[in-house]
Amino acid sequence: MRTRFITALLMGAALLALCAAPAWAADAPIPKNDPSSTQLVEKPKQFNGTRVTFTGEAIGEVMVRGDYAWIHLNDDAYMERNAEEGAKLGGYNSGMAIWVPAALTKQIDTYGDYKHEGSIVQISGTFNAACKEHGGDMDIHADSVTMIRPGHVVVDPVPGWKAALAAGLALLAGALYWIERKTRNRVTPHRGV
Amino acid sequence: MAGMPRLIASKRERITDYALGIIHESLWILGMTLFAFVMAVIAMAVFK
Amino acid sequence: MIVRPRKEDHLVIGKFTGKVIIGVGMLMLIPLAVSIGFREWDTAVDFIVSIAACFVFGFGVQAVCRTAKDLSWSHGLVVASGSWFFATALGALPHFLSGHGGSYLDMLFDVMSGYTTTGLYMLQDLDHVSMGLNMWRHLLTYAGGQGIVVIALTFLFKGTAGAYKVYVGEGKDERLLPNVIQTARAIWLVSLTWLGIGTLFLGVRGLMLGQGPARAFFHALWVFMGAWSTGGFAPQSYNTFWFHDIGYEVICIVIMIAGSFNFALHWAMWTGKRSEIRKNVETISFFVTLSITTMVATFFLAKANVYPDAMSLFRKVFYQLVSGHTTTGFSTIYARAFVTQWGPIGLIATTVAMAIGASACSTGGGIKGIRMGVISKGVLQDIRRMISPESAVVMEKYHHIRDTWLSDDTVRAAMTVTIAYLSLYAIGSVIGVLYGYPLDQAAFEMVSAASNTGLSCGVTNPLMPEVLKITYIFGMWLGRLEFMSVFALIGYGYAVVRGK
Repeated sequence: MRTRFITALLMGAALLALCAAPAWAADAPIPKNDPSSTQLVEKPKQFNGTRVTFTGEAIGEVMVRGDYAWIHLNDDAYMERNAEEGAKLGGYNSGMAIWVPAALTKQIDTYGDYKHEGSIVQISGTFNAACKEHGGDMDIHADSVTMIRPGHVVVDPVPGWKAALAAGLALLAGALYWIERKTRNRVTPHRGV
Repeated sequence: MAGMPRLIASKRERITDYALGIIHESLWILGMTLFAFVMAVIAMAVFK
Repeated sequence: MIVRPRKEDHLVIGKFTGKVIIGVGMLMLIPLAVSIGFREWDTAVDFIVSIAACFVFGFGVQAVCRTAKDLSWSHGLVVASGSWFFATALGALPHFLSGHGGSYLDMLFDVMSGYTTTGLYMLQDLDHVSMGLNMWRHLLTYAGGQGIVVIALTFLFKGTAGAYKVYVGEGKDERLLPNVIQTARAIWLVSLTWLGIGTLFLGVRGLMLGQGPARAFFHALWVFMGAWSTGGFAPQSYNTFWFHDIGYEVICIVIMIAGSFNFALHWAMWTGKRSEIRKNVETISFFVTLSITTMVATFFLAKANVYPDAMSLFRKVFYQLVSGHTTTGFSTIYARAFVTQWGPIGLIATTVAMAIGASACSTGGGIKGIRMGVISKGVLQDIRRMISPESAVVMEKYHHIRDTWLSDDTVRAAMTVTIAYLSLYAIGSVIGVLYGYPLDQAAFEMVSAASNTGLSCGVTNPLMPEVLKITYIFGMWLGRLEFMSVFALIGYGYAVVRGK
């Protein structure tokens, strides 16, 4: 009797763990960048030509140019949630431009913008302080791309107070316009204005 | 009178003038750009 | 004795300021339409609030300030700077309501930066900003470059005598055509034609570079606006570094330099006087100083072995120098790279280029080419006078659309404004140093603000000292309006308080 009870408890716990697993996967830990984008820009000569691993939110779009493509990864305060979702403001965006084989970008499902928080992606490659192939650009030529966390759609609902404010001000503006028109003719007519 | 804008230009003449004006401006700027490139080439040759 | 302004004066100023603010509200209809088009409802409501606020102010002030009086010179100057003040306060509403602003002061900074076509910004998380807000940011620079007043003149003012006074108050005084309304329309023709052509070229290039059609179009439109207005705002935090392409860069260079030209020069070139570009004192001055500063930066950066080949050296140096000299503020390098890669000489060369700036009566800022030309000629004239016999009459000539004798008054006026700019640059640099920034970086940033350039070497930051933010806001404003109308506004306030 007791063993059956314990077994049931253990199975229950295992089941619970399995159900929670997707949640865990969604919140896979994001490796901290060392060097970060800020550090790379501060000490370009030191890191020039070295192999780096860089993780960031894929931003904007992928620009495919032949067999290769440009992506931009941001490792700033808005990597996981953007300002529209209520992330605490923490300064400017910061990130790196990545030149990568186009085929490897196909796994990136979301790029960050107003309505989306981009996929968090990890790349490995060579950092160039002034890339000869790209007119002196500071970039990373990546040869591997790993998805860390998928992106998501950002919902930004209109708060009630704002809608009320909009309606109220619109009415007030309308009223003032009407008043302005009505009192306009009381002024002595003057050429020009 | 050289240099006076044509006062009684037809619409077609005016548009041609506008287009030529833009082309001239752009060519001057591109010329300047080329000059800057040549400077870079010289600088690299001197210091390499 | 300072005469206290009378009620009629307040009424005139109020009425015309109201008109300009209504214009600002109407301008906001464009980003509202973009937000609705992209179904950005929260942003759309932000704009409805802001437009309504502008109309409440504009119609309210107009209803109260009933007068038949027209503008005098002093009114015109006060309306110009006063409008800017209110347009900035109200223009910051969409920014603030978006939630991307650390404070209202930060958003005032951004809007002043937009109108003055500077390009420094405080907005945080720019890469996640809505299409509507980005439309507003870039429209601010396009409108500011034209002149908020020029816009109002086109649509809202009917009389011409007063209108010209406000036009001058905003820092332009070229009469392209006999009538100021016609002049405003000619300026629009030039700007809109370039808008069409520039957006087309950039858009096509964007598509070739792998952008999707919506992004290619809007980025092209916005980058054009930033380049032509010599504003320097761009839709991503990476600025024009985003595109990684020489084609995009060259097109931007053409638009930046064209945008920095005097509108009178454009009009001359467009109406048959195509030799004007090589005879005009401003273009000559610009090409000379651009060549010198570019050469200095090129040679020093080559020596320091920063870039691996001539193409990289050319692309990075020329783009940044053109951006600085035209007072645009686009960059294809990270802000801190000015310090960590370019070093002091590169910083100084860029600072000098920014300080000199673009042409008068253009979208650009700085001391301006015409003053450089006039002062150089003035010095030449003085030297010639010194070495000539006493009885000889020595006069220099300069060419700006037409040939003009160089009078002592012209030289003096040019020197006064130049000294004002240099003082402004110096004061702001000192304030930066007092807050702990190295002199070359403090100077770079202050000159960038006061010449309305917008390049940054990393000093500008949402976390920077509030006093420095306010310093830059005033620097941008004074620089853009060329001091006179802001002094007039201050003088007006003083007269209200202390006049008899």
